[in-house]
Amino acid sequence: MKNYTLKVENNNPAKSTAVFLKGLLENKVIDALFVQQTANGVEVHTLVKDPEAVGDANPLAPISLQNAARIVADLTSRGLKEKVGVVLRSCEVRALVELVKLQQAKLDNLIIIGVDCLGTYDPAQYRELVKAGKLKPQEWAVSAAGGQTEVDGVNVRRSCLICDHITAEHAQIHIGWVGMNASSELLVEVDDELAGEIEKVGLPAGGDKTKRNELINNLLQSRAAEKEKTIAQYSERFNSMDKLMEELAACLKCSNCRQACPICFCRECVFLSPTFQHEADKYLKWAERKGRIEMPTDTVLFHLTRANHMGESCVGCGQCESACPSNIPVGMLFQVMSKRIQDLFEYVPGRDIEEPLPLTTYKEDELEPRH
Amino acid sequence: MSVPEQKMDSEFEPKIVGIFCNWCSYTGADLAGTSRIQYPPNIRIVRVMCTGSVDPMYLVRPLLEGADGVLVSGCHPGDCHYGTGNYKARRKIAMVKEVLKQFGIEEDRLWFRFISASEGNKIGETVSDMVKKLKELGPNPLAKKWQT
Ligand code: SF4
Ligand code: SF4
Ligand code: FES
Repeated sequence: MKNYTLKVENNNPAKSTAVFLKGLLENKVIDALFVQQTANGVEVHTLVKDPEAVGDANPLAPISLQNAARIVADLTSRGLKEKVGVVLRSCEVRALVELVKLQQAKLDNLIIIGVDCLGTYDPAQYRELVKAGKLKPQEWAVSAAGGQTEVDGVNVRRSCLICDHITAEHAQIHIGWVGMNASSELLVEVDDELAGEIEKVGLPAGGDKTKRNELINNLLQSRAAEKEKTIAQYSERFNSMDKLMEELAACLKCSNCRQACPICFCRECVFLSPTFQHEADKYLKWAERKGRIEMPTDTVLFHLTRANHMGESCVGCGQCESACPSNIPVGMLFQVMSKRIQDLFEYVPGRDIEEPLPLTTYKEDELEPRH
Repeated sequence: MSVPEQKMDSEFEPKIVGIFCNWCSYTGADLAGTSRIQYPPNIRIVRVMCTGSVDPMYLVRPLLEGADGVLVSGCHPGDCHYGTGNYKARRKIAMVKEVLKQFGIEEDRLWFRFISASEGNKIGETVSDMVKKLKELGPNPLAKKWQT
């Protein structure tokens, strides 16, 4: 990686970032760009061809309406003919890596442009803060560069507070603002192979990373500790079937959590398939056996099955929890279950693109039974 | 197969769902039957084409709906007709157990075994052992829960 400095003016790192991204398009480093842009008070995902149409880009804003890995998967699954730069945060890159392994996405012709992330807000809370002028998306990188994410008593989502990733992995270009003096400069790191091309954009080399690295390490340490504590807490909260049923009592089986999950990759989820469309007789028989059954049925089964389907690859982005209309801590539930699965196979999702998914491989001598 | 006598005060008889591979254990169970090997009638067997094809959902649902145990049985290592389905099943089952443990479901309610077509006796022994173990554990409390 080579380091460059991206100058910031008028306290507006978002603007400089947009100008830099525009330069990538203008100089044909990329043919198209996938990036969050501000539209009507919130940052939405856009696909850009015209360099003049990137002016509202702000991938640094602390909002993520969805885990973009899913969109990138749709964009790439049938192959990309043009070089597309995709601006992603860590949880999105890690989910994308898992989707590649699940054969739902391809990396060919993709240039991953990573950005630092200290967390994203619940979208409703975010819009209120922005509307009230308490959070200025353009200046976010300046105000949060020291690691402070709370605004007016509101903080980023629970899963973000315990996320132990700040920089985005596997990026060929990376834009860093945490631990920088973000009102005057950002750090751009570029893969050696791409460095020649980036020089066309005209960034000065350099960028002192000492202060940044120190802060990031400290933040990662305290977040990892917080993560361990929080998962232990929730593990206790969910440590019996009765408690699980209690937590899931208000689940309406709307499937929002699954829809928001970047990993749940099935075109048709088994729970929406004919497998779960039964004759009335069946339901009546089940009701007879137990005296009564909740309708719709199979709520606990839905969550436990989902955990077994995507738990090995869960990156903890917490989008499921944000999508839940019943406020069920479903993200925490999944982190508790996923941790057990990932620990069992010593697997870290998103870590290494070459590492096979645990359930697609095996060792002859492992687990029980042996013969 | 003779039906064991039920005591008048009806001792707890565990219900087991068997998920047996067509190429080995299912035939093994047939052999147990034709060789008149005695084993408790507590198991209902579902035939599958390979243990590797069994989705975790089919291991979880019987337990949530009140089966006392699930016994999955497939080909011995190296003998799976599809190469490695049995090894992958072993991983999947270890994973399901790990998840069930979180919620206090005893791991001994889910068994995985390698039993070949010629091991009728091993079928008998395994089912007997499992029935014994499940009697120790007692009935599955989820049988009565209606919010599963
Ligand atoms: S829960 Fe399972 S079946 Fe449904 S979409 Fe997710 S991975 Fe597919
Ligand atoms: S989003 Fe919430 S209510 Fe909807 S299925 Fe998931 S947990 Fe249940
Ligand atoms: S064919 Fe028997 S376990 Fe795969």
